[in-house]
Amino acid sequence: MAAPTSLPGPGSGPAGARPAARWIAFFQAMLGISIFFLSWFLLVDVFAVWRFAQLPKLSVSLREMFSPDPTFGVSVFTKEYYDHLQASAGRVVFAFLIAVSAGVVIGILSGWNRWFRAVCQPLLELARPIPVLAWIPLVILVMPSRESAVIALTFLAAFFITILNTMLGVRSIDEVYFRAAQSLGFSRWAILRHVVIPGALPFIFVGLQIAMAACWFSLVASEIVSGTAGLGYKVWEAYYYVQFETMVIMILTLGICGYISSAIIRRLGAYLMRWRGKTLGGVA
Amino acid sequence: MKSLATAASAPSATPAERGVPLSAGIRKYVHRHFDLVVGAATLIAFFLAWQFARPLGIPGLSAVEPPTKVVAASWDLLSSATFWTACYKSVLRILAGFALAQIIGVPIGLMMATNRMAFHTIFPVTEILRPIPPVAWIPVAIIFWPTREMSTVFIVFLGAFWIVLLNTIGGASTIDESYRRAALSLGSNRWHLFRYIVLPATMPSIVTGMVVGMGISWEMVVAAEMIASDTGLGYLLWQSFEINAGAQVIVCMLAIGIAGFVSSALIGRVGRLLTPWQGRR
Repeated sequence: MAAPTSLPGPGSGPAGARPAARWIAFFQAMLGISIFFLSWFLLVDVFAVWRFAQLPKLSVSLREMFSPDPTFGVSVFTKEYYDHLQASAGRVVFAFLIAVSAGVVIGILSGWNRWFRAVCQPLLELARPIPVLAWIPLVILVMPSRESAVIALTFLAAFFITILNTMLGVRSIDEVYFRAAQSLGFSRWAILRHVVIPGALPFIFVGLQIAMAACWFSLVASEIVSGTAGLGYKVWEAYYYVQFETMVIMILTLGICGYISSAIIRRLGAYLMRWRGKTLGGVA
Repeated sequence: MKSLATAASAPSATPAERGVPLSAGIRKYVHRHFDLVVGAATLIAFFLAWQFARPLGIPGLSAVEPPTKVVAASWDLLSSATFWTACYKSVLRILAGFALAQIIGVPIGLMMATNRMAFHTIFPVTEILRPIPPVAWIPVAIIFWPTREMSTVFIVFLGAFWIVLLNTIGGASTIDESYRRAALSLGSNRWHLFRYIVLPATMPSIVTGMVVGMGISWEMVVAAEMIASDTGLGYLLWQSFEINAGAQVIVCMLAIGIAGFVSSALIGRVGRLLTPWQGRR
């Protein structure tokens, strides 16, 4: 994507040729973020207009977040904070890794093998239109414990998305590549290694980013309704006990976790697909 | 991409089989409608396994009510007013939240895509807020909005909003610069640029955002109703679980699935009407 001069977008970000443009973009970013926090501060802390009066104050929330001795017992200096963080992050990593490995294998097989696709497709099509969160009660019924139910729900969210995107990726590969590889005497394994996987990788990674966001989303919902620990659980508990500042801390932490995890996937994708270079302007 | 399995698994009728027209006919049918036949067989096997999970002692599946009970429960539920009221409530919330996401998301997205200043100022803020799972906003929404109804609609709105925004920006930022220059050299003003270049070029990705956003809207409405409401399909689902009506849980799930599927299909239709110049996707 050549950076258009008047139609900027996510692709034509501050990585422009001129360093001045970079600085201007940086200051504009700071400006935007300051406006956001300033309006939070003014609407809630200072003027307390309308319903904003009910919301947790920015100043109090920040003080609570960085206080060694927080009012409601949770700040970045307390063990409880890291316990919840660890519980949630552990579940997401575990569920995501299983979902991705299973999803990529099933996706590649069903994009590649007719039998496998014919068997999997109807079952997937039956399950996929149902929103992941609507699975919550059924999964709680089926799984032996609440903890395994939360993990299963986080897994499900990523699983369907990964399968779908992997399948799309494999089917997007030009037939010519398969024929070329076959006529050059590639074994099935070599075709998998040199045609199918690299060809499907861009789609897989798009899928992984969506899947990661879905994981967090499903995790929070399942933790709220059936968890016993974790960030989502604590958000709801803090709400329930009117500890709104703790709630803000947990929500911010969830945002940071979501950001970091998708940044890791983006980096990994960029590394694994180095050959794609700048053809897409580095957006992928 | 047609695998070697294709050739191996379904050969055309051999001479020996020509003497048995019936089996040859079946073979030919299986060969031609391979996906259909295998798929149907899989589904039948699945439903049989589900039906007889309890006598067979299949772990997991045996905790689920068998299909016959689900059918009976669906008959009861579909003839009750509770179910249809719940459907109506959920659909209204979806419509309101989804429409708000379009009305607010598309203009902001277009503004961010066409104005460098707006993009660099607003985009970082969205980068901070977007990674927060919309479900985590539910308590904030309950605190902020005066009624539960409003907070449910807000959560649906929020779920769809980010997708709508990102797709609009993405679409508008891929416009070829030469179109803009051509239009300008032919004497276009800003409005013409917007109306004849930016809008049509962005429409397909706005439509994509609508379709994906609709899916997320259903996720959000289920979450919000389950957690923070006492009406709607999500609530009915959770209530069925709490009163231990296992069959009804599955009926509600299927109903939500079908409703989501139908609304995505409808949005796809609307999308094709909005972008008639696009080939069939």
